[in-house]
Amino acid sequence: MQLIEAKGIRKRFHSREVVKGIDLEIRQGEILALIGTNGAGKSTTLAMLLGIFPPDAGTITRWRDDYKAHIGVQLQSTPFFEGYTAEENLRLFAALYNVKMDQGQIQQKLEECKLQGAGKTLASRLSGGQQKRLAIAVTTLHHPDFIILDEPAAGLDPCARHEIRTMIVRLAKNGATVLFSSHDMEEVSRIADRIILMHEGRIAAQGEPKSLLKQYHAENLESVYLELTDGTQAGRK
Amino acid sequence: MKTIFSLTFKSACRDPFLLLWSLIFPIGGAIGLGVFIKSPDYPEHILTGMMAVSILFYALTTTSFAILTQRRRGVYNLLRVTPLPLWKYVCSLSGAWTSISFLCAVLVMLSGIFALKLSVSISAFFALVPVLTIAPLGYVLFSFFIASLSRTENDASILTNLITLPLVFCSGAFYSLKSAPQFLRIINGFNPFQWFINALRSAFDLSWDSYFINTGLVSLAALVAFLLALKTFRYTDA
Repeated sequence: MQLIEAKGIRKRFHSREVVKGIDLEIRQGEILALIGTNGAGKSTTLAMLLGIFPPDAGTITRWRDDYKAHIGVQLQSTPFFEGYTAEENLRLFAALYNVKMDQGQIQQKLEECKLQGAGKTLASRLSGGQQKRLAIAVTTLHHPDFIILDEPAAGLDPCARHEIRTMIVRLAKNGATVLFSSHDMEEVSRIADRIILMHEGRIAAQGEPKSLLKQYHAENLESVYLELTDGTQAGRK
Repeated sequence: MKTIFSLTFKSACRDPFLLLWSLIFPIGGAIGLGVFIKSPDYPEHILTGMMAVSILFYALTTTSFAILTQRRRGVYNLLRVTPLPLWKYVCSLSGAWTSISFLCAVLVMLSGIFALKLSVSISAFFALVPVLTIAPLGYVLFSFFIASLSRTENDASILTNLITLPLVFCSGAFYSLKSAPQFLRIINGFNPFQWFINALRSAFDLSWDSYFINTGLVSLAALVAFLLALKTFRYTDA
């Protein structure tokens, strides 16, 4: 079953066309990675899929009309309500999804993202890794069918990246469909079932990691990435 | 809505600006000027003026910055992908901030009554309740509009000063306008802050005609502010 199908979507900001007519589908239960250089149009594509703004052209079909209640979102900037503690942010975001959480559930959520003991800390004072983990916890408060993570592991140390990867895999095992954007090819190759590679507003390639390696005669995803994004071709077989 | 209200209330109470601008400054001003200026009517005059200033500073200025900060952090972008309707979010926040403004004004009033030895009848107190609710609600809603017009904290600072200072200094908050030039009194007839002060003073004096007219005008301004808040709400700076 497809959760989202986008056909020929385009988006222009002022004179610059950021997304230039892309087709994509997101299938239930998969972990889909959206990769590409900075400015490739990944975040804009995610924003259109989420309905943050409409495409200038093309269509987006979603699996249900009330999809907002069934999507969890972590934006690149990991925004939290300023002046609120981690615990209060969880409560507040739960309220935005019309979910009531008691203290026990809040604690459980904090433990899941290894933030027990940090519940009373202002969210803005948490470390980068803690903020990312809290942001991912926020995305799952309402047990969504579909989770979108915009660069969930960006700027984190290897331990924190590993923790984020583990969280993503656990979400998928629990039945959620996960779409995440990333620059980290190791991360992508380890956890993604399927990859969409964007370059200059277009889809340059898409498929399963193994089939992409085979198609581009490459040893690793980084080589495919470099080749398709005008980088060097180091690593080709 | 209840959770958003209570969390906003709790978080806002931790704001140091609240203590300074909406409690210490108005209480100090009301008591200081009320004791210093020897005129029989002045203590009530300055107390109502300071109650109004307390509300204006918090409900318009502090909240404008709070809204702008959340938007600049990108929180409202997330709000756009949740199923919560915008009006519910705006109402919950406004409700919490209005309650804080109300409590601040009551604290200023009680401090003034105690220090300046004023008396307020039960009828006057009940007449004050709607005014102390509707006016801050209008200012809070207007602060959403100010935040929407601002891109940075500097913009918000300039805009709030440009709006609040003329409203306050053209009004009769601190001094009587009885001997003010005619043009100033005419201008003041269109000053929403003066409507608020008039409503407060007529509630104290139980002057019902003035009370209903000015409370009506304040309510109308709040309704306009509500429409402006919803129509101009900005989720993002992009």
